[in-house]
Formats: sequence, structure tokens, C-alpha cells
Amino acid sequence: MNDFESTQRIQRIQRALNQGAEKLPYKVTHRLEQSRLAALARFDAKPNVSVKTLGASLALSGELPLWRQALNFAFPIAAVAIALYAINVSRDKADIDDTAAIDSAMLIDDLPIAAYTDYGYGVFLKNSRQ
Amino acid sequence: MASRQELSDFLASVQRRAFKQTVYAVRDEDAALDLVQDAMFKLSEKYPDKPPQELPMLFQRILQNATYDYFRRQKVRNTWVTLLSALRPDDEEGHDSDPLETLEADDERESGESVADKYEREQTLKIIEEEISKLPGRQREAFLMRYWEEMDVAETAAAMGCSEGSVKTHCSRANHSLATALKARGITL
Repeated sequence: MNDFESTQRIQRIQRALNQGAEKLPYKVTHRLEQSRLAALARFDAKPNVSVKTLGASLALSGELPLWRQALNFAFPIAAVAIALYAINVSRDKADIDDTAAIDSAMLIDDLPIAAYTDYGYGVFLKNSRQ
Repeated sequence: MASRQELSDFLASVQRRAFKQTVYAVRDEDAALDLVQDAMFKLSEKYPDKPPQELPMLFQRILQNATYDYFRRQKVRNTWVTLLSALRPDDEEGHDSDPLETLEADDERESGESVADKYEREQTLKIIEEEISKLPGRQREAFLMRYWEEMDVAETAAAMGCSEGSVKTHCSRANHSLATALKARGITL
């Protein structure tokens, strides 16, 4: 079988297939047309959906690559963790500042004289020395 | 990015061939119509941002995957039908057959024998289509994409998810098989 014969045969098969495709029954061509129009309607509806290109909406739609979807989920979690850590650090700092203020007041010893006449404070000082 | 008009023109140009191609694979017109419709929907929904020149390759790939899914579903369904029919007692056999179904099928067969259909289905075309249907799936896909859809080797390889060498091998084997089969049936092209 040479190339020329092969090419001729392929061309004739192609013509026969094209004739077959042209002579489809009406119910088939009608259904195909309906399918095409429905597909175009979906194409028209697509931009409305693709406007939602922010955040998790696209991640959930599965149109982003896997690493972007993972990033979209990981980023809010990381942000919350960082915020919690910052709150914890700031509260620790506030506690330290308060304690430091009390300590410095005691070291400065600017207690009023009346405090030393207080019986309870006297007991406290006595116990502190022990 | 393909415009609406480009997508519409592409689908209009390809829909009949896609239908026939799918019928050769699944041998069921209704199933083929559903599969082509699904492929059209997926192309318009999932790949609206693709350039027009990529549409043929994408569409073929989607259609192929849909066809494979169809075969998988059929396989699962057939397994269940076999299992359930094995569980059914023998004396119930035949009770479910509806005479109207037979009548309906006969009507369809008669309408399929109309003059218009006889004219459409010329003997040569029928034999060619039969022989194309008999080709192994991958050979048929490669042959039809290369020589009917007129996609080049690279596009066909991309659509089939194989190497260009495999496409050439599939096409060559399909070509030889068709030549032999058609000659054996008295068709000289």
C-alpha cells in the first residue's frame, strides 16, 4: 500500500463521513442546536460568576490551582494566629507594667504615715521580715 | 480568549462530527447526544478564557473523557444489573417485560426504515461507519481526529494525552485495518 493510495482512501473515507454527518435526522440536528444554544447561554452567564474573583469564592469553585486554593485557606488561619499572639504579648506587657508600677511605688516608699499606724500593715511588715 | 461568536461558530462546525464520532464509540444515539451536550457545556463553562485555536483540542479531550466516564458508568450499572438479576427468582422472568415497549421498539425500527433514512444511509457509508466502529478505541480516536477533524499530530497527541509517536502508530494501524476490512467487504476506495 503506497502513500498515494493511502491518501486517496483517507480522502474518500473523509468525504463519505462528511456526507453521513450532513444527512443526520432532524431530531438529532435539532437536539444538537439546542445543546449549542444552551452551551452559549452558559457561556453568557459565566462572566457574572467570574466577577467573584476574590478570596474563597474562587477557591471553592475549583478554578484556581491547588497551591492557590491552599494559600487562600492558610492565609486567614495564619492571620488569626498572628493576631492572637499579638494580643497575648500586649496583655503580658500590660501585666508587667502594672507590677512594675506597684514595685516601684513600694521601693520609693512613699506610703503615707497613716499606713504605719495601721495594725494590719504592721503585721504584714513583721511577717515580711521573717 | 474566545468570543461568544467564535465559540458559537466552533460548536456549530464541530457538533455533527462530534455526534457521529461519539456514536461510533458508544453505539447509542441518545447517549451520544447527551455526551456531546455535556462536552459543549463543559467547554463553555470551564474554558471560556482559552484562545479559539485551542478549542478543537480541548473539545476533543472533554468529549473523550465524557465517553470514558460513560463506559465506566455502564460497567458499574451492568455489574449491578447482573448481580440483581442473579438474585431474582426464575419464575419472575418475563413478568416485567412490557408489551408496549416491544411495540414502541418496533415502531422505531419501522420509522428508521423510512425512505429518507434509507437514502441517508447509503450502503458504502454504512459499511465504512461499521468498520470505523469496530476499530479499537484509541485507533479510532486518533484516525478521526487526524483525518476527519483535520487536527495535526501535535494537537491530536495533546487531545489524546499521549506522544506524537503513539498518534502516528494508532493512525497507521487504523488505516491498515480499515483498508483490509473494506477490501474484504468489497469496498474499494
